Amino acid sequence: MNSIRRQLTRLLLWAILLSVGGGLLAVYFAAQAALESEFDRALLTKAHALSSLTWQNADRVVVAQWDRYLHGFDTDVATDFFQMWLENGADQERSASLAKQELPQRFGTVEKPAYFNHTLANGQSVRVVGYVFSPRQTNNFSNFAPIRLRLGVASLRLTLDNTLFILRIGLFSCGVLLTVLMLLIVPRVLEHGLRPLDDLAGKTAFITVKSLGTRFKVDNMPEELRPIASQLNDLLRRLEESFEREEQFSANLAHELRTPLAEMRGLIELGLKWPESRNPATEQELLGVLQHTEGMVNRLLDLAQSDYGQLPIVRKSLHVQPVFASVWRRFAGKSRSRRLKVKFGIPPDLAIEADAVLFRNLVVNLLDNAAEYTPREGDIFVHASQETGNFCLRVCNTVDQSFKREDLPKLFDRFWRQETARTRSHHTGLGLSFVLAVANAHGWTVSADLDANRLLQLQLVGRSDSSQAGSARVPAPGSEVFAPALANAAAPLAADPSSQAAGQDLSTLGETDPQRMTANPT
Amino acid sequence: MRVLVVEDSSVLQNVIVTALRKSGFAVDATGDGLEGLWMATNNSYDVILLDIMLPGMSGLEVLGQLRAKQLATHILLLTAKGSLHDRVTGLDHGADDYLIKPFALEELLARVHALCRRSYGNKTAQLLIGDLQIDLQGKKVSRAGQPLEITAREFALLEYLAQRAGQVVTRSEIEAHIYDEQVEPMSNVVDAAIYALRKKLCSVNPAPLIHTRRGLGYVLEAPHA
Repeated sequence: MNSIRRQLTRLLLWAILLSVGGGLLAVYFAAQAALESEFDRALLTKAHALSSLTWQNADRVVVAQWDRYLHGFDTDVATDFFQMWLENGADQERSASLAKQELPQRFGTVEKPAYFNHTLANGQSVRVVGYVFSPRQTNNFSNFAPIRLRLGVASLRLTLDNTLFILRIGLFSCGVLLTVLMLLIVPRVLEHGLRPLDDLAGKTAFITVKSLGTRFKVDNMPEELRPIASQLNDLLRRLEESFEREEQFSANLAHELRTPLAEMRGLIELGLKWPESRNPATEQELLGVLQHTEGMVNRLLDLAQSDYGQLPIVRKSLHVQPVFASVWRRFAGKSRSRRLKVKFGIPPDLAIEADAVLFRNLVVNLLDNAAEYTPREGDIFVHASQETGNFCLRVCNTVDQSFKREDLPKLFDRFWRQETARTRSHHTGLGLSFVLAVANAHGWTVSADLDANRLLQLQLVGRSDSSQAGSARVPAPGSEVFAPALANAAAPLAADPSSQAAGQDLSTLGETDPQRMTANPT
Repeated sequence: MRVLVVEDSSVLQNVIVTALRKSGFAVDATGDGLEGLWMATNNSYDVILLDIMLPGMSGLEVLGQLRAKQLATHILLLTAKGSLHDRVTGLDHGADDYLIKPFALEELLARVHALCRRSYGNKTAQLLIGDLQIDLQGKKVSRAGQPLEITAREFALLEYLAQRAGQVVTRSEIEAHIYDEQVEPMSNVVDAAIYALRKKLCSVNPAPLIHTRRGLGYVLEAPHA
């Protein structure tokens, strides 16, 4: 299995071992060079001593009392050897320690002698220095031609080799010790260094659907892991929200279906157990519950189709004003009974490209919500405008104090209702989800806002003459607008100061030309 | 036995109320949480059926407030919220039982009966007072082995007196537990019902079972040997 720790351990160990090995070898070779240099200097000193004891006396060469001053050349010590030749190669002088053995004849000059290793006939290893020199002449015979002599001086390498051997052993032992120490230390150091990564991995491994609330403490983490932990936290947050919505949707769906099922079952069981309790109203109630359930199931199917981009759309040019006028008739009675103040401002010539059935259902949901949730004697404003190929449709209604700005993001959630009870039987909590789905299918943007006057504004923006949503913008200067995510909405939400509708105060809608109001049921 | 139904679905509320009344319970009903809290606080109920998602005030809040007021009435949560967490939350808030929608009417009635019995410390559906035998499940009454024909209202009265056998039961307690909001207050309906019940019980054995404690109320107990 691929493991960062194992890879790092392997690489670090190799790097350390190579560094240590290289270092030890360098130390050894440096020491060897220094020792041999020192050895060569001593050897040369002995050679120079011999040279200085050598004299030319007329045409003869005399090596004076070398055995008196240089005891290493003695037979009993025998650590040093020398041999001296005349220029013609004839043997001139040799140390007693050399006996009958021969030194190789390899020579340099006095300034640059030749150094080399050699093994004597008796098997002893020696270091040899060789050069050619002219001995000093005695004053009495200075008119004789100078004689050139060849000198080879050797010393036993035993002491040097022993020293080098001990050095090798010492350095090798150090190398082995360091290797063992590195094998022990490096994995532990890495383990310590990688602990934050292990902690992160361990904590991540234990995150399940039940523990999506887990968050990593970014502040305590190493700098390298902070971006990862932050991203993980963000992912977990979104995942948690998604799961919560999913669970909430499932719970809401179960709840919404259980209540009508309980009603239907209760009505049927009541009729079976006490047949005398049955009457035509019972069948009517049963039918009403069935129709409500059927409507909800159909709406859910529409939403499911929308989720998969399969909501069938047949676009044609539609005049917006007649649709609103026709739909509003359904809610006019309720509006009158609740004394709602309703004002419409829709240009008669405003036409959009939309699916007639879906757009009508969208309008039904917008107006139904407005009529249902506007407090008694509250206001409903419907306003539409068209600018450079874009239409902007706004349905605004006053809401009571129980509706909070925090509710805006939930407004388009499926089954979300401000009230927890389901008393308002014909409302399923899917209306605005459907509005969003229809807008999404047409490529329009939809947004919601709540102003300081407790006016809830639902705004629909899109291209009035094509299916492209690219140029649609939501005019919302200076206000925080909640716009639910649309799967295929390409246009970012942005203020459009060029739009006259954007700058129009909704409170002035009542001053709209009465000729442009298609319906004013109040 | 008197039951309060707090359910916001008007269809379901009607179904439950009808079924309970048909089973001999006195039933009050409301679809609003706040009103339910007021009714539960100001009336004496044997069992309260409480929905959770209610307008005005949620069922769990109602439940919490009732328990905070030390109200010991048995409460059955009747809700579409059926997850384990919901059930545990409901019971933790002080509910005595939990029934998930959709439910069988028979099961609901059986649970209400069981809670009523628990209210008076009885565990069986058979009550014996002297030679009087009451079958709560089959809604049958017999004395000295002979079955008696009594109306649903009389059965409810006899059941309440039998549940509290040996105790003095005041007229107002009978009114509170046997008669719901459909009965006009200040009527002599209790005295009339007691009279009718006594007559039927004595038709088999003249030894009286229902005794009047003057100024206090009535006691159902076996005649002393």
